[in-house]
Parts: sequence; structure tokens; C-alpha cells
Amino acid sequence: MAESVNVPQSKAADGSDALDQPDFENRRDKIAIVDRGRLSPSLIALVSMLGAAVAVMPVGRAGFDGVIGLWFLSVLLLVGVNVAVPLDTRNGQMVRWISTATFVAFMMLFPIGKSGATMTDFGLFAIFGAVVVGMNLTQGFAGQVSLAPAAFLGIGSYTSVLLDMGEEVTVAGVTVDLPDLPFLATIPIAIVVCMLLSVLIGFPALRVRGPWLAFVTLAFSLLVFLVLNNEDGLTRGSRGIRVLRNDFEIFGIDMLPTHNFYYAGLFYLFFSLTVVWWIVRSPWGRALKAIRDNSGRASSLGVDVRNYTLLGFAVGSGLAGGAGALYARQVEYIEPRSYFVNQTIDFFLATVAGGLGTLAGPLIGGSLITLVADYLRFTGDWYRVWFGLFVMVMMVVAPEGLAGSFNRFRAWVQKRVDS
Amino acid sequence: MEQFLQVTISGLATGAIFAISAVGFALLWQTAGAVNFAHGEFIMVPAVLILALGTQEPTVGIPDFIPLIGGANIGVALPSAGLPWGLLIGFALTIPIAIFLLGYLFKVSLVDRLLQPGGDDIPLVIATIGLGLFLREYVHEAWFATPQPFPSVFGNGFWRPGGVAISADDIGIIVACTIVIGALQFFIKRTYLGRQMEAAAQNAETARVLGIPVNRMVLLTFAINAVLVTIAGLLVSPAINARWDAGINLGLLAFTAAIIGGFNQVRGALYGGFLVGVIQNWSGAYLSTLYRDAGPLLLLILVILVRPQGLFGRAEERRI
Repeated sequence: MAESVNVPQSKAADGSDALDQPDFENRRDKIAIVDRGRLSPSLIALVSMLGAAVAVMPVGRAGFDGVIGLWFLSVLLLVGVNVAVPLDTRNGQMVRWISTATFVAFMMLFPIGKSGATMTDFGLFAIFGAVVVGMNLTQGFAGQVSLAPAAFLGIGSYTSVLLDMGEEVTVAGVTVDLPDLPFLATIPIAIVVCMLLSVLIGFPALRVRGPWLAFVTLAFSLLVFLVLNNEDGLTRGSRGIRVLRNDFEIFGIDMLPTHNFYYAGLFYLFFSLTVVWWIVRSPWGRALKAIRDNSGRASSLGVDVRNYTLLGFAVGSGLAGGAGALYARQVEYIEPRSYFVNQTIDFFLATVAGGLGTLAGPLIGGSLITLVADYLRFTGDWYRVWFGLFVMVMMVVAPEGLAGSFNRFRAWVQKRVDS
Repeated sequence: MEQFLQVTISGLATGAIFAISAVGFALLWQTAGAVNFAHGEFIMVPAVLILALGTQEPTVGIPDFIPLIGGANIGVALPSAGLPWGLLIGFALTIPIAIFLLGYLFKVSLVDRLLQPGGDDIPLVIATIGLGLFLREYVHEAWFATPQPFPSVFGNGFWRPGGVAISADDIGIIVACTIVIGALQFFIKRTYLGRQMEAAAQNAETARVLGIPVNRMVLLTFAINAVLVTIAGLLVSPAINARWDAGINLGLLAFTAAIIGGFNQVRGALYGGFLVGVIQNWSGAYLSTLYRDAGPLLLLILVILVRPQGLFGRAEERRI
């Protein structure tokens, strides 16, 4: 008796994230059978207070100094509540919304009183986070391995910077006068250029199933690096280009201070999360999921596997391209070395370590290669050795990544609570 | 004409090395279904081991394997030139280590756990990319960061028959690779053990029914791959030096060769290797030295577009 009630519930908890909407049939069953419960005012008040504490505590301090213990305690409690409250109840939904709002508020309020160096790190986190969000769409939802995010980041950077400089360049003996476009206009151009290129290389690679896209994108990354490094007239080769941030503003806000520029990156991160969230909820996202789980069956049901996958790859690459435009201004200096295969591998492992096919995964993964990596800088480059080892062990022990492991843990806890 | 011959011969020498490493890659793919993205590092690590073991100075050696923690950078002073004997001793010592580390341990700890029959190959792809990062960065952190000169087994001699400059290294590489490939073909086609191995690769189920110890045969493939990458490391390093980041390029060119030739055939990988080596040298000589690697990579994209089973491969049916 208890079993039959538990089955749909634990199944939903197991599937395990906001994106994992139960399908239509199932949802109707739930509305009929399962009582989604009432909102508990005391729980909501507690969670809101925790959220407010997490978001407000570091405001106006140089770091987390003095509040670090309390802050971690609040975060842990918030996570604990998320684990304990089943997601498919009204309370669970509310807790999830408050947690999301807490994250947004924390990221928005964090810069107050912080040093420039800290905000450089966080800016990088936002931008690389967006790249990882795009990769996660390609890999976690479209089920294809792309090994070209750094190449697209580079294409985005160079496209945007070159169109912004208004200088003449020479490609293959032809001298072209480049326009001096405003920075904001170059971001969509970078995105579109990357999407077109990814369609161009993805089209042949996705003709057959298999790890072909991984090979083709890896070859493409090397080609892009060769072009960036050798086309001196266009990209100034290995000398790189100095990018200045002081000549533009967005909506009247001067972008020179690191704190202000951080918000541009943060906005882009939220934008890419929204894009992926929207895609995953749309019929297209359902099709992608069907393809990922069993491409043969999906195609026999009339899903155009190649086109859907290609679009997933294109959007993922486009997000990396737009991030490249911001990255160039964040680091204020671009050179081909920054877009080599090493960087791709960082993005790739971050995507996997964070958790494929979740929305929170890319944020965790993105922080691993920026914030955590910076924190571990004292080890020299040893943290990169550990990172490789960590990913190998993780693939064996918990292939669903950190976010996926969290979801599994929650499902396990709730099963224990139910029985 | 002289230049053309010269470029082609050194292209064949490079190609012979690619052929050997591509054959190893294709063997793993055929018998175990394993796509190894750390293949380049599998060539780099034996090269480094040969250099560390094959020198006579007692201080030169293995870095501390235990302290993975925190910047224990042991500055290994590698001699710039060693006797070929030292090199060959190092090579002989490296082979069992490579078979254990890159063959047995790799199979047992990663491939066996991540590759379920009929399952997805992506987890193994991810894990081998992680393994590649681990090996690369480990050598970088624990061993050396700057490229180390690596002496050639065949010396630095040169001949000039008819104005064509031919280096002893190139000829030696071509001869050595031909012998290795011939021996491998003989083993697979003519010996009982090799036939069993091929049977296990072609159809594991049927082979098992016929009483062939499939798992042992797969392990044998991994051992053969380990030997092949050790040979490739020994032969390729004089040209590019022993360096921690050699694996990215080597690996990419090895599986470019395997894909161009045809993943599912040892023969295909062989031809693909030579083709990639020659094209790489041609594009270096006649297009631009800067775009040396661009030729094979463009060919790779073209092959995947037109003939994804490879130039010499068979098309495979896919079960759903």
C-alpha cells in the first residue's frame, strides 16, 4: 500500500531536478492521487531568513572574514532543507524558488565592499560559468561531446575585439578596413558567427552517431589555434592584442571598474541559464532528452535527431562565443594561447564534474575552474593533477557529477524518510 | 624533385610512427570498444620513462610517486646525450612498466568499470580525457617542465645518394616500424593466439561460445597497445624532444590517422598513419610551415563528411 504511493514520488525525486519535469501523463496522475500539500508558513519563514542571511552576510566585508563559519552553517542548513523537503510538494517548490532567489541575490550583492582582485575572479566565474552552461546543453542535453568551447571562446573574443577596434587588417594579402562597432553590438555578432561555424562543422560530424563530433571539434580547435597564431595581419599572432575597457559604457554605466564589469558577466550568465532553461522546458528540450536517452528510438518516433542535436551544439557554441566577447574585456589582453586545447579540457572537465543535464551543475563546475582553482593556486599547478584524478575517480564512482550526486543523495534521504 | 623525395621520405618516417600508434588505437577500439583520448599521453609517458631509466647517472630517476601533495618538484637533471645502449636498456625496462601501467592498470581500473557491453562510450571518453590531463600535468609538475633532448637510437648520420638528403633516423624508423608492423600482422594472421585475438575482436559472443578466453584476449590487446606506444615514444621523441605536452598533438594525429584510414581495420589505421605523415610533411613543405598540421586535420573533416567509415574501412551496421 505504502509502496504504491511511494513509487511515483521517489521516481520524480530520483529524476531529480527542476528540468526533469514529469511527463504529461504522470503529472495528471499526480494531481489526481498525490496531495501536493499546503504551504507551511513557518518553514517558508525559516528558509527565507536563511536565504537572506546567506545573501547579506558577506556584504560590505573584504571577504567572508569573521562570518565564514556562520555563513557556511547557513548554506549547509539551506542545502539541508532542500534535501529534506520533497520537491513535488508545494513546500518543495517554494523552497527551491527561495534557494534560487538566494543565489541570485548573493551574486548581486556580493561585490559590495570587495576588492578588485576578488571581483576579477568572480567576473571570470560568471563568464566561464556561461561557457560551461553552453557546454552542458551540448553534452548533458544533446548528448554530444564538443571539444571546441575554447576555440569558440577565442572566435568570439577576436570577432568582438576586431570589430570594436576600427583598424585595418590584412588577411591573405587583402587589406580590409574594419568598422568600429559599439561593444554591445559585437556580442550578438560573436554569438551568430560561432553558431554558424558550429553548424558548418557539426553538420558533417553528426551524420553518424558516435564520438565523431569530439574528434572533429578537437581538430577544429587546433585549426583555430593555428589560424589565430599564424595570421599575423589579422590577429597579431602570438603577440596578442591589448584590449582596453575604458572606452565604453553600457546603458550609461561606465564599464571600467571591475565591479561594474562583473555585473555584465553576471547578466550574461543569467541570460545563458535562462536560454538553456527555456530550451529544456520546450518541446525541443523534450526531443533532445529523448535523443540522449535512446537516439534510435527517438528517430523511429519521428524526431529529427541530426537537426535537433545540431541546434543544441550550435546554441552551446554560440553561448561560448558571446562569453568570449566578455572574456576579452575581462582579462583586457587576448592571445591565442588562452584558447588552446588546455582551456577546452578545463571547460570539459568542469562540465562533467559539475553534473551533466542539470542547471546547477555548470555553476558548480564553473566555480571549480575559476574560484576553487584560484583558491588552490598555492599548490602550484598540482591542483590540475588532482582535478584529472578527481574526474577519473568520479566517472567510476558517481558518473552523474556533483549536482547529480546531490540529487541522488536527496532521493536516498527521502526514501529513508518515507519508509 | 630532390626536395619532393626528401620531404616524402621524412613524411613516411613520421607516418610510420603514426601508423604504429594508430594501430594501437584501432586495436583497442576493435577488441574492447574503447576510445582512448589519452592516447597521446600514452606515447609521451613511455618516452619520459625511457629517458629516466636509460641514463647511467644514479640520481636520475623516478620522481616521488607518493607525495602528490603540494609542489614537491624534483629537479631531475637529464643528460643531454646518452649512449644508445643506455637508451635501449631504458626501453627494455620501460616495456614491462608500460604493459602494467598503460595496459593492465588502465584496463582494470577504467575500461572494465566504465564500458558496459552495449552501453554508452561517453563515460570512458570523459575518463580518458581526465586521465590525459592527469598524466600531462603529473609529468609537468613532478618531472620537468622544459623539453628535454632525446637521443636517437639510430644516430645522427646523413646520406646523400643523388643529392637527396636522407637521415639515418628516418631510414631506421621506417625499417623498425615495418618490422614491428610485419611482426604484428604475422602474429594476428598466422599464430593461434593471434587468430583467437582477432576472433574475440570480431565477435566476442561467438568467440566465447567457441571457448576462446575473450577477456584474456582483450587484456592481450591492451598489452600489445602498451608495447606499440612504447616503441612509438622511443622513435618519435628524437624529433620532438621529450616534453610533457607532446601528447595533445601526437594523440590527435594518431586518431586522425585511425579515422582517415578506417577505425575498424588494422590495415586502415596503418595506411592512414602513412597518409597522415606524408600529407603533414607535404603541407609543411609546400603550403606553409606554420600550417603543418592543418593538412591532416582538414582531411579528417573531409573524410568524416564523405566517408565516415574511413578510406579503407568497412561500413558497420548499428543495432538499436
